Amino acid sequence: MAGEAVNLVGEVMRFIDITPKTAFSIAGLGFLGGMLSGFIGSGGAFIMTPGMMALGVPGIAAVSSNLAHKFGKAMVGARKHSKMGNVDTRLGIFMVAFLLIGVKLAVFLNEYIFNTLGKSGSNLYISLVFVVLLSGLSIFILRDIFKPDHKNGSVKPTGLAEKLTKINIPPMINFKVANVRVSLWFVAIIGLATGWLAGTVGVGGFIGVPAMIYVLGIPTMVAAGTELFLAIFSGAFGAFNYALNGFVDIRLVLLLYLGSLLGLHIGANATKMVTELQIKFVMAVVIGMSAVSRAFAIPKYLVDLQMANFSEGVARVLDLAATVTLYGGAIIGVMMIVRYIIRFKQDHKADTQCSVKVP
Amino acid sequence: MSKASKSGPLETIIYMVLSVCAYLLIFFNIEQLNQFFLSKAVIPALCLLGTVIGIAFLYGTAISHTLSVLGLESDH
Repeated sequence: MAGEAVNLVGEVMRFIDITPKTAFSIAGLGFLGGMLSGFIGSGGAFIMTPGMMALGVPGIAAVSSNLAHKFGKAMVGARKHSKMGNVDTRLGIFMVAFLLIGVKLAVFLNEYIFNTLGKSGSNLYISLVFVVLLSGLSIFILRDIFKPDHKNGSVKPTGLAEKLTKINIPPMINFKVANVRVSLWFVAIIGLATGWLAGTVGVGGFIGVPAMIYVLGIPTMVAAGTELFLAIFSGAFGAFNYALNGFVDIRLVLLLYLGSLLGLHIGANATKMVTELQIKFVMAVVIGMSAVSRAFAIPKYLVDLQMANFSEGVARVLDLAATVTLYGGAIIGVMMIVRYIIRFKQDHKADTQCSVKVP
Repeated sequence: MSKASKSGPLETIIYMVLSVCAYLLIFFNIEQLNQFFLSKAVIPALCLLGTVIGIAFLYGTAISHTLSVLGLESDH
């Protein structure tokens, strides 16, 4: 196949063969990712990227195809989101400059690792980033769920944002829509981190949104809206850079769309029937399981790189455990959503019957 | 989606047929398309992203219309 990426360790990166079973699995992954994405308002890449890697797609191809998938979705949704008025354009523009530097750095690093250590090295790097990021995030969400303040219904931001807004490191910039005045340096650090993550694992909002809320003190809706604005640029720039090096597999992108666009609508509909705590609980479970799955996958990559010595049987069992935990987590998440919907419908039905009986 | 909620079955069918055609066209010509898309140059990379946006628009609109016809439309 012309244009295949050849790396320095002599491996030729081959896109996987798409059999009917693989096609169905990728569309299914897209559905699970899309449904969770519509439900928790995040990209869904934390399921789709590891899922594709578990199917044998090289990590770098999974990340780049996922970025292209995210970019197309963001472009189509851009017009609608811009009408919502939740985007602080000034903040977005300042962040985009640093975001693109972060994406470029991530693409360079990913390609460098792929070229020097091969597919296993690249997979190991991406998996390590996933484990650190997803386990940290899962713990953070669980702490947030069980925080006493949250149980009382108050959504008070941490004191960190207040402290940071008082730190006067010039240039200080006033963001009108977000209604905050912060140092450009904090914006730059968050932009760089978001871009680097988007370019490395295909999703940057994991860091971008919480950082904007808890570090800069930006209202949740503005943070989410501005992140969507940034996602277009990180997706476009990242996908373009990877496409320039022949890493984007359009077949994967199209198969992901088959499931994700349908799942997205179903997940978004479900949000009308659940509480914020239930959304966060599903998020913590799915993200936590995804982190465990990547942790199980790491020994195999270490064996491939001859950095560790496990028997073939152990490596195979761990590899199987990685696949089971990943799909298990996604399926548990979807089942929890379905259960919440059923419970909502039952409660709704009972309420309607009560109101009919009591005039 | 207000526009989608006004859409009729005909529009839904048109978008669905167009999406199916686009998918079939791409998957039946994937060898030739990949030769172009993976040639590591600016124009092919831009064309690849353009194709992705086109498919996302066609299939996304088809799904959105279908769900709105079924009374399951969302804000996405």
